[in-house]
Amino acid sequence: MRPSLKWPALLLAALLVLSGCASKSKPGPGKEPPRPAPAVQNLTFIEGVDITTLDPAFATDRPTQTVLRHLYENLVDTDPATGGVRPWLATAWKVSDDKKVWTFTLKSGVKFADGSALNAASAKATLERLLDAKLAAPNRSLLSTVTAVEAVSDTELKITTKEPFAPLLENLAHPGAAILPVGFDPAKPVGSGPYRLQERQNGVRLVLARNTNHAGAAPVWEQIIYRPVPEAAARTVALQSGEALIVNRLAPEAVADLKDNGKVEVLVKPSTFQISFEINNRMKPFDDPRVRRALNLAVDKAALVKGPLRGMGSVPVGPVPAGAQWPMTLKEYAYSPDEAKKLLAEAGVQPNTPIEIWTTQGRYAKDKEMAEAVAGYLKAVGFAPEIKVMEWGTYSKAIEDQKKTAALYILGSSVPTLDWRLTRNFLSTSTNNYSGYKTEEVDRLLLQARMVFEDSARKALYDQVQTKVWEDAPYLFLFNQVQIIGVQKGVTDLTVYGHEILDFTKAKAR
Amino acid sequence: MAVFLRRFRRHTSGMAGLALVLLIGLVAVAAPIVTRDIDPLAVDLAISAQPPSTRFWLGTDEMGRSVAMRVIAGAPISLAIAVAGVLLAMIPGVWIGLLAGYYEGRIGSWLMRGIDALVAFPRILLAIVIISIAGQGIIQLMLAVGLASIPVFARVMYVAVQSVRHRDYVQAAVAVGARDRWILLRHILPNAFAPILVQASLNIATSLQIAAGLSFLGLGPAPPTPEWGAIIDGGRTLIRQQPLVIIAPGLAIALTVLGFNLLGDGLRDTLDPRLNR
Amino acid sequence: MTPLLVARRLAALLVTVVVVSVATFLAMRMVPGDPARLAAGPDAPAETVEAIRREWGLDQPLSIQLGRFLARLPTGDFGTSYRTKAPVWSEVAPRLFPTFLLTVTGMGLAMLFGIGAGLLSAVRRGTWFDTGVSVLSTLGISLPVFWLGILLMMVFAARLRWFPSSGWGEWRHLVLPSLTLGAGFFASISRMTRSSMLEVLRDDYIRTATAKGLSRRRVLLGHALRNALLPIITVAGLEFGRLLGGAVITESVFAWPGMGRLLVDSVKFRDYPTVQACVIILAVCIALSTFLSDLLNAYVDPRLRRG
Repeated sequence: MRPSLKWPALLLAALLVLSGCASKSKPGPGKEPPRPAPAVQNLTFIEGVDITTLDPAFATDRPTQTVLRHLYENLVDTDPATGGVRPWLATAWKVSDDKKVWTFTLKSGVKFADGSALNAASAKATLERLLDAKLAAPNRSLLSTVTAVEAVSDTELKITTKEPFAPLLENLAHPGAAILPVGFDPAKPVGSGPYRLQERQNGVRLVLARNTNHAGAAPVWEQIIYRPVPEAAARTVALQSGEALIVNRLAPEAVADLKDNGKVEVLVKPSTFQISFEINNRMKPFDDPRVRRALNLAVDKAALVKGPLRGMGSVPVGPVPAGAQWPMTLKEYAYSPDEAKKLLAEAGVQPNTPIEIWTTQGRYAKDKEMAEAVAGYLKAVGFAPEIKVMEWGTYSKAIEDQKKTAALYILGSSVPTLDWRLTRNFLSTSTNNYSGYKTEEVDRLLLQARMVFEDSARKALYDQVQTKVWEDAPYLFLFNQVQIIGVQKGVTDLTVYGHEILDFTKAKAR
Repeated sequence: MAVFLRRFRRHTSGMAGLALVLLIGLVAVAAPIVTRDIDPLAVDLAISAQPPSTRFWLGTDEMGRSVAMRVIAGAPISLAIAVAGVLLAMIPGVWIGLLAGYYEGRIGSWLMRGIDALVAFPRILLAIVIISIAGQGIIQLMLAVGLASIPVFARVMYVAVQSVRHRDYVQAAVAVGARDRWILLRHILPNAFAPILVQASLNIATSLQIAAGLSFLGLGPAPPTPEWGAIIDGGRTLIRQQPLVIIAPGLAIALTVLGFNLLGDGLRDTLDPRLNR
Repeated sequence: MTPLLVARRLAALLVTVVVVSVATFLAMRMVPGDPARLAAGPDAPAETVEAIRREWGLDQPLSIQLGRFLARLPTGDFGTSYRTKAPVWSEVAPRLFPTFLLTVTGMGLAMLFGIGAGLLSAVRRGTWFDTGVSVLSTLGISLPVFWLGILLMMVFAARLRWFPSSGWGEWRHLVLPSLTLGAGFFASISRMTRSSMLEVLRDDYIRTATAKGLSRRRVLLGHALRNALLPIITVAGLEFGRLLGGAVITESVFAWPGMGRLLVDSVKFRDYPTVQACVIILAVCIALSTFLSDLLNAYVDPRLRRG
């Protein structure tokens, strides 16, 4: 008597059925939206990662912020052309004489996707929620100096800060400060933007549909479909096969591939992302600015851009790249290994001084390759480099250690607004200042700039900071990234922000 | 022994496998000499990702280094990882499986539960944990690759032993009063070993695949180590421009695996007493 | 296989799951990296990171964290994902079916072709066919997985447009990924089958059956294959569990929403709750598939039936 096979068969079948019940997504006819050809009402957009959240308070990465931009609106917006601030939900604003109270005038008649009204009370609730320590939101620091928020009337909002804080305005333009309804529930997100959430399948697809309650002009696309595809080569294929209208984050190699393809076009836009090797300013001999300048001169950055990046990038001419707020063009650290050797000798650096280079693998574009290249260049000027690679989780913890043995460690900087970007990196008391760079002049200028409300005066202060920082070279500034976006031919009016956020509301296709 | 050697020599594909393995071993041994003049850190970005030429027979990689030289330099490293990985997995695995399969009582049961628990721990997680803690390098790669495969050997051995255990000759030995160790070594092990041999040669391939997969995840050895899996991962974006960066080490892996597979088959066929009538 | 046996195996499964969960818990905390920092991003100030850490209870001593975790286990409360702030189950549940589907299809195809190839190789030992299959399976197991995947994608999706290049939704999305996934397994199965068949074909009872006058095919399929299946089933059972959580490369290349990718991404971001949930689910599946393969083995080989 053989035991029947029914148990194993039942078990296997049960597993399949159970999993099918647990997941709400199953294959079936008509589940996939019609394969998009140009001039259809759906825009399919492919990115490299899935979004992480639909709650603005927790949105820290660019793909998520791109999606949230279509669901929500802020008080003010960044102007993609000038990098400055322009009105959005707030039509006007003024600051009190003591510079500690901001008064915003809001548009009236704005509604959320569920029909409820957006007014000063909503704004107050949003900002207080963001400030709530219990929420522990990563974007909380945007409002760190805010002490009180008051809804004076339906269209008037008062924000009080502890000290005068000029960057508050640009912080309010950050996607993290998007205005939410009172009692916002992240499980059922509701915003006032041109789109609302229609469907979400984790890791597969996100579908946005037109928000009929949106106050502004109706967006072009009836649906926006967001699809994450992690592998760069697969993204290129998706563009070539016409499966998507817009594909973000193409690999630099793909540009040459697609050049002869008459059906697609590659947009190359500047990015606020600058990749550098931070130098351990606390470690001898790197506390000497001559040594740090020598490091910058020893590396042929133009070759790095031409080679591994295939021309998709630019050599840095300042600590703030084009596309960010108020970038300066300073003198490039042109490749001159002889000059570098001279400076090193002057500073008393012995030949074969060990230099430990830390890098990640896959976190930044070509990070491992950059480390190898830099090691090669540094060897040529007399160092004895050693590369240590770590995965991002370990790495991000290790670089915080002040006693680390690394002399160089790769890090990218992408914040578009100067107060945040410069203080984060170069203010000596900043908790994110991993390089240990400390200059009284820069500290003073940065803190002073926070209290200057006039744009040209503030810019002048930041110019001084940029010049000093560039001269002191606390980093080995490597290259400025560019955004490589593939589109089907005929797609126009895609708004691309320097900090790698896209806006599809006005985009059109033939 | 002499009989075995004579028999093996007649097995053509086994001999071919041996030849292949010896060839690769030779390359591995000769590598340090062949690549002595070449500085692994020397990058020349001006000639990055070039197709084959008279100077570079297989072209250059991302950093302008010779693909051929890197693949040769990687031979000792990848071979060491593969072999160490298999041995690290096979020796403990086979012993556990042997003991668990033979001593069917409490010991056997508990041993297998232990193995089951290890199997239930996702291999990729194990590798990530080991490398994140121990750091990224060749030794750690060997550890990660080896430890992750112990359960396979244990289980295969366990099942093999169980099926052999009740065969007549084993029962006869037990009846006669032979000692456990004698029975294990003389009767059970040789007859249960065939699937182990196959598994071992398969594991060479798996080890190299795991190593490549770890590079894919960003957990590979520190650059510029020319481990074959790391070279392949480095060439990921060059899949159209310079496919040789992926194909060359891929082929090297394939040949190594083929060699060990054929060798393994040959050994298995030769050692199987029933095949040689 | 008595009910008592089944109950004992299920109890063992439970113990395994608990052991594996605790091991994962400890292992994740031994791995360097700060989940709060990773969630907040490198641009957030330290106080934000501290607030997050406090909110998640990560500043508590290890024993308290472990206690809390174990207390929640029986209720099936996996907690909230550190990365998405959504309930972990909502991340994991939608990936169960795609993962199973991919694994079963990939393995199914591999076994279909692999057992056939291995069988014929054994019968035609030493011929060109045998060597040919050997070479093919070598390629299958040693070619880089992502290279194979991208190649298939470039040919069948970009050039021929027969299949979509990535994603999930229709049966058409399944083809390329399962071929990629099954390639390696095809190699193992064909070689294991060949070896196993060779052993069995020389056994006495086979000669007896042939002598009795049974047709060659009947002998092969009826007797030989059945007895050769043991190690094959064992390996298949192991591989099933392995592939469920380990198909990360295939899943990444084809943007397939699978558990492998979720597990790896969660580990990368030290998303402890999601990692725990994935490991528990995978452990259960692996234990069940081991159980299943033992059952199958018992069915096939009566000598193993004592359990």
